[in-house]
This record gives sequence, C-alpha cells and structure tokens, in this order.
Amino acid sequence: MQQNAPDANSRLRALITQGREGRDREYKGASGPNSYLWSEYRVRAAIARTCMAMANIGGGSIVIGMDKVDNQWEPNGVDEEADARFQQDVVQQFVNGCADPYVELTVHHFDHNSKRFVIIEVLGFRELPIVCTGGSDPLSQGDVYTRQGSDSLRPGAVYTRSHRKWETVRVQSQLEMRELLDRAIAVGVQKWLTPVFGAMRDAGIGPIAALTDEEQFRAQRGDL
Amino acid sequence: MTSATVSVDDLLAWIHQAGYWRVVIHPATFEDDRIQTLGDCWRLVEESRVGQRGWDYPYVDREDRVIGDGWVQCGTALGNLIEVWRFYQSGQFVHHFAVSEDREDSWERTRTPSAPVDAPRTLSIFNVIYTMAEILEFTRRLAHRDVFGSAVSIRIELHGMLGRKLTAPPERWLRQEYISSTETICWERTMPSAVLIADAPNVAIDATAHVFERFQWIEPSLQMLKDEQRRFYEKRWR
Repeated sequence: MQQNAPDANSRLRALITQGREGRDREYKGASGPNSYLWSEYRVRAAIARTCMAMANIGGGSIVIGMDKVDNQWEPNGVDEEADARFQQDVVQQFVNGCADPYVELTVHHFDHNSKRFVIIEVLGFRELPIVCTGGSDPLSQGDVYTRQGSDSLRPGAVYTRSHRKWETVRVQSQLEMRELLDRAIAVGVQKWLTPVFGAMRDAGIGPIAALTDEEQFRAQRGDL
Repeated sequence: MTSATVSVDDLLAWIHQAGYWRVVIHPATFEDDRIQTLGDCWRLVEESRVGQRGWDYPYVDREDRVIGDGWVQCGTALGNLIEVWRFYQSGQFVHHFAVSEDREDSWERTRTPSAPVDAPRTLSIFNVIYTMAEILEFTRRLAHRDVFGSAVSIRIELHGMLGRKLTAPPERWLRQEYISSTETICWERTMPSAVLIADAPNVAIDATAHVFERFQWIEPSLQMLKDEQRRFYEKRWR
C-alpha cells in the first residue's frame, strides 16, 4: 500500500476538503447506481479515459469516495471491498493497456475523518500526448474493447478535459488540439534544453537557469 | 529645445549630477506584451498622472514623447524640474527625477536644466510627503486600469542623501536636526493590486515614514503625516 509523506498527506487532504471538481480534479462516489466499483468495465474504462485526459492536460486527480447530495459533495469514503480492488498494479496495468505512450499514475489509499478514500494521481505526459489504443482488459480474458458509446475506449482517440464542463471528452475542437500541441512543444523543448544546459554547466558556462520575473524586468530596463 | 531632442543619457546625466529620485514599478509577473499597443502605454500614463501640484506626476507632454521598441518615454529639463520616465508594454514604469531642492529655482523657467546649488543639501519633509503620495496615487490609478494584474512591485529610491538635512517650518514640525547617514534610501514593497487600490494613501505614509527614519527621525507621528497628506489631497499644500 502506498505510504504518503507529510506534504503528500496535506495535498491529498486538500483534494477532498476543497469539495469541488475542476478541470484537473474529478470526484466519484462509491455507492448508489453510479458507484465506482473497479469490478465494472464502465468504471475501468472511465478511469482509463480520465487518466489519459489528465495526463494530456498536465496532470490531475480522481478522488473516489465523494457522493453528490443536493448539489454538494459529501466525503463519505469507500467501503473495504471497493478500497481493496483499487490496487496500484491492477489500475496501472489496465490504464496502460489502452494508452500509448504510458500514463504515470499513483493510487493512494487515504484516511480522512475515519473514512477511506481512493485517490488516483496522474502526472502530465513527459514526451508525447497520450493516445487511446483501445487495449485489452485482463479482467475479461483478453477481450479487445472497441465498443461504441460513452463506455468505450476508442482506438485512436485523444482524450482531454473539457473547458466548458468538468468532464472527459475526446479532442474535437481546434482550441483543444492547439492546447495539446503547445504542451507537447513545451515539454519537448524542455527535454531538449535540459541536457544542453547541463552540458553548459559542466563546461563552466553559466550559471544557466530560468530568469525570474524580477530578472526579466531588470534585463528589460537595463541601466535605466 | 524640446526634450525629445535631448537623449535619455543626457537627461540622466543632468539628473544624476546631484540628489535624485528613482522609481521602478512593475507587475509581479513578467509578460512582455501585457499592454497591447504603445498608444495604450502612452494613454495609460496620460490618464493616470497626478496633478495635485502645479507640476504633474509624472510629466507628460506629447512634444517630448519618444517611442521605442516596446516602450514610450518622456523627459524634460525645465529649470529645477528635470525628469525622464519610460513605460514598457510589460507594465514596467521607470522614472528618474532630480531632487528639486538641489537646484536653483527661478520664476523664469527655461528649457535648460538649472545647475546644482553650492549649498548644504536639504530635503523638504513636505516634498517627501507629497511626492510619495503622488507616486502611490499614480500607481493606484494604473492598478485600477488593470495594468499590473494581481500584484504590483514598487521600489522608490532616493540617491545622494548622505549628510542631507530635513527641512520644515520649525515651529510646527522639527525640534531637532534630522540628517541622513545613508547615501541611498530605498523603500520597496510587493503587494496585491487590490490592496494598493484600496489603501494607497496609507502605503504612501509607510514609505514616507521609512524615509524619515533613515534621517534619524525615529517614529515620526503618523497622525501628523496623515494630516499633511490630507492637505495635499485637498490641494491645500504648502
């Protein structure tokens, strides 16, 4: 089970206590007709889609154990069985079975006010945007899922988080595609620059570091 | 001779001959083109200048305007009033101006700088109170026009202060001599724009008290400073 450092604890606690969803934060309940049980394919597929979408926007979190009651999010937690099914290796294997390149994620089992929550934290992609491959589900003896409809994992789809409503959608607009490309360029440039800067430092050329805001203003005004 | 024909280097050389103020104001975060056009830059300064005294803070005149790559500038040398400012599209404002007490004043001001006086250096406490109020009011007006975004950084420097004496009508203000033991006095703050918009006069009082303390005037009466500042806002300045 994932052990959390103190700063990680405060971060995870904040994800629960903030009580509202965001583009990089999705709440899911663990009871009722829409309960998030790993044993159901729709849940596994939705988690995979959202993990890919979060990776494509720079990272985010799924908090399981939050129930919507009268338009308010109540932190009710998950029961033991639900908790036990969300295991790091199982979730990671399923998500990365339908993602290319891989998604970096961590499954946390977190206690808050004597209740257990499952929190899946996803990092932003390191190299290239994540594309859905459809994949196969080890829980279903290797079937390849190419279902249509909202439950499906569509091969070739690129998922993102909508700006209009906090939900996972396929990239369809020019704006969403541009955002994805901008992120890919930024990540690519950083990846290229890191070894260059390292080599310059090693050669005694430097110090090389990003200019702070104050340094940029100072450079702009020069001797004035 | 208009100041547009005088280079910024010449203006700065004149200003730096004796005591001078240097003001640097900018947003907390750097964005190269925060202000869309150079026309907008000029208009923002023009509309935000403070005209409580006979001389606006800052001095704005289209005849003395200089346009650069990403900035507008204005400067003048009119008797003991010598100044130059530059406003960048990033929202950065830099202003140098002479300590007027160091210059010979004349009713017949000409478009040439007056020479520094050859006398012990002084600084009027009213000039400090009013100038601080003008700088902070100008910054507040820019903040109100959303030039800085969420936070603004302000730096006010006084140069050539070593050995300088504060002056004021003795019967009201000063019971002893207050002399600076510091060559450069610097006051600096970074604050949310909303705070500045709501509280600029009190921020100006903080800056004023900071300067006076560097003249060995420990804990000047804030009420006296506020009373004098109010006279300034009401144009009942001395």
